[in-house]
Amino acid sequence: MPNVVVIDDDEDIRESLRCILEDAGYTVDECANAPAAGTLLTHMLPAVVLLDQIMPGMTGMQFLRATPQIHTTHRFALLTALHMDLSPEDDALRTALHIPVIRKPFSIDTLLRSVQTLDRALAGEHP
Amino acid sequence: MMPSSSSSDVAPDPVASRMDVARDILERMSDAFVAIDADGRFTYVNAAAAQIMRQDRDALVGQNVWERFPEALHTIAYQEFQHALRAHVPFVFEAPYPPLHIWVAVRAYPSPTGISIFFQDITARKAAEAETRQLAEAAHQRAEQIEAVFSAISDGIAIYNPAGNVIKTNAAFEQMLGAASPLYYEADSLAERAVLFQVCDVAGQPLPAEQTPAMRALRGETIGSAAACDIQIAFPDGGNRVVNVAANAVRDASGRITHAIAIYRDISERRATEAAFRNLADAMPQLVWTARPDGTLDYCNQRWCDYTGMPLEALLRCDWASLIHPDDLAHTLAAWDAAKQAGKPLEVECRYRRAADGTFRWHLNRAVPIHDAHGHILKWYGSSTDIEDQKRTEVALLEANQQKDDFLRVASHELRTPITTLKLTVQGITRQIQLSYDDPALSPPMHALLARFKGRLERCDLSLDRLNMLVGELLEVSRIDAGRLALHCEPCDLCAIMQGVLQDVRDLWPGRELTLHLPKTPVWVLADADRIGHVLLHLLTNALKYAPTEAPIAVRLTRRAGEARVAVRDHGPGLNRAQQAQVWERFARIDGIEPLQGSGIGLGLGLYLSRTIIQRHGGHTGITSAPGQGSTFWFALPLKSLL
Repeated sequence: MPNVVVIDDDEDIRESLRCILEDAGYTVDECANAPAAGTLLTHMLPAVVLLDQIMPGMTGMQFLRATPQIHTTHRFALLTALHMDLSPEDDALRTALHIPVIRKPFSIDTLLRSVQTLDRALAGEHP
Repeated sequence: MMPSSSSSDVAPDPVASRMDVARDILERMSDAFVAIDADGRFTYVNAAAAQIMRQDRDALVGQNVWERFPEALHTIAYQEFQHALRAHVPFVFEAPYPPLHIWVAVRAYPSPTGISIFFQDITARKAAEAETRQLAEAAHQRAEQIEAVFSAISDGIAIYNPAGNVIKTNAAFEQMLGAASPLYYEADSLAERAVLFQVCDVAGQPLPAEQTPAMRALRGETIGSAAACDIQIAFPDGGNRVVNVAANAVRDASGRITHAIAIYRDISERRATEAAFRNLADAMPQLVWTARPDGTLDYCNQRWCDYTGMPLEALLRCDWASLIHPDDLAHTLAAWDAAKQAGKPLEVECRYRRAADGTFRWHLNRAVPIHDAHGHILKWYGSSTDIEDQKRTEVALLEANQQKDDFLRVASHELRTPITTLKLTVQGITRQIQLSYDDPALSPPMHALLARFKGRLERCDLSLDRLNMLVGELLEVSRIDAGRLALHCEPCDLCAIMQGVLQDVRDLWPGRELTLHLPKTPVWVLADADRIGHVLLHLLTNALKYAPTEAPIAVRLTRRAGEARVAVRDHGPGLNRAQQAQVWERFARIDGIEPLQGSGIGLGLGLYLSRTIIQRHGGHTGITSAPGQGSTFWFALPLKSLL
């Protein structure tokens, strides 16, 4: 069963995402902050990582900068409300790393479409 | 030729012999001689006369002078000749003789038989005399010219004899000395002159007589342009002039000094101007300085001295790099070097240490070079303005803006996170209900209950969408108010944006007739795609809300006059002119216009935001409408140049 890691400081969001993704047939692991995710992701290779941008201590993009090679092994999608949440530098980096944005608030359909797209892309890249 | 003596075999006749001697003398002398009888006939012509007259003398003898030379009848010679014959007096004259182009000097003496005339060709002498006269005239003219220049020149000029007495001065010199001038000539000695005025150095210290520029020049010293010296002439009445002097010795062919010439330029006005500049500079709040072409400081105003705690002399000598904050040194020196190299104005900011409290304060340095007629830099004029407070304000403003950004980011996140959770929860429960709903084992009352729940949850989901949109509008207005509306513009195809929006709207409003008319090729604009999408979404949502459900809504994209125009045409109630102007206002409410679909009329921010966003893109918005005729809301964006 494909695995999705959810990195978000908001417990309600993590819980909702877990329900939806498990209903859709994924296994789900949760992290409440970026440093914990760093540790977790060194040990596992999930199909998709859903990364919240605005988190206390370290933002999603700061996490990607602090772990420079991680985008080569893991497939991320960034959860954020508006472009406003990303500095121009962050947005440029995000584009360069081909990391899609899932806009909050999103519908279940949008979320599942995005995850499936990433999952397929990963599968296509590493058959 | 006449024979010079009679035959030798005849005994000498004393009279004839005397005649021969006389004839011989006449023939040998260089003067021309002719004898003319009372009737005006030549009786004798000597060789010299024949040569001057360019005649054969044998042919002349016996001929009448005035018949032979009729042109001479109108000359002085004829009148004098007639007068001499009548009055028996000799005559002398010099006159030109035009027929032969010569000048002749004539001396004539009446004789018993007529007149004896001696004459000489003096053409050469006359020419020499004329030349001498011309030379004298030219010399006179030159002297006049020099005198005129001497008088007209604005610098004072004085010529001294070796004793140091003035032998000649010009008007400017006399004007410079004023009342003392007439007495100056009469003063025989330096001591006497010292009573009229005192020659001092620029500091006002009297110069010893032998140190005055004229005396130095008389000792052979050249006081030239580079080594010209400034002196002060102090008058007994307390007045004084500051004078720049150049002086030089004049020597004769043997190298002995015969005179000294001194040129005095009155620079009192310039000195006064410089003093006025200093007073002005000291009165200014800025640090003011001037520098030589190579950049070395040659003047700083009092404020500089106060700021650095250094007296002027020390400040001019010090390495001013030591006054600049070490972090600012490199870029400041680089800017100054570049300005000097290019001869262009300088503008650079740096921090200078204030002596009073040891703090570094930000200054804006500006300097402009003054050029001469050939474009060479003469001087730099600079000022350094204290911008510390301005800098602090800038930093504070930056911090305040950062805080606004932070707040808006947090507000956006904090408001959207619970909406997201709610939405996911509502949709998740709806899905669960859907699964149970399809279970055939479900009892009918339970089935009906689930159907009711499902309907209410779907309305919840729509309310959440509405809440999300309102939150979005409020945040956008907050960004605009804070001046923090940042567009993320990039080249994008307006057709693609419109297709995306239409897809979303069709999903949300199934059953409504929406037509989309697009050009066949992409329409490129430089835009924030999300926000342009929101604008179109808003125009479409308005049309859907206010127009009857059965009436179609047309969305059209056209290109014209360098613009891309997006128009949304509805068949709603239409707006009159006043209403058209009103709808774009913030919190707009149009009386009598009520939405036919959807819930509520919103915050009245949508069109205000739409117009602001379009204007920020360099575009504009408009309405074509009339009551009962429906409305066309449109916006236009500049087309992106393909170059």
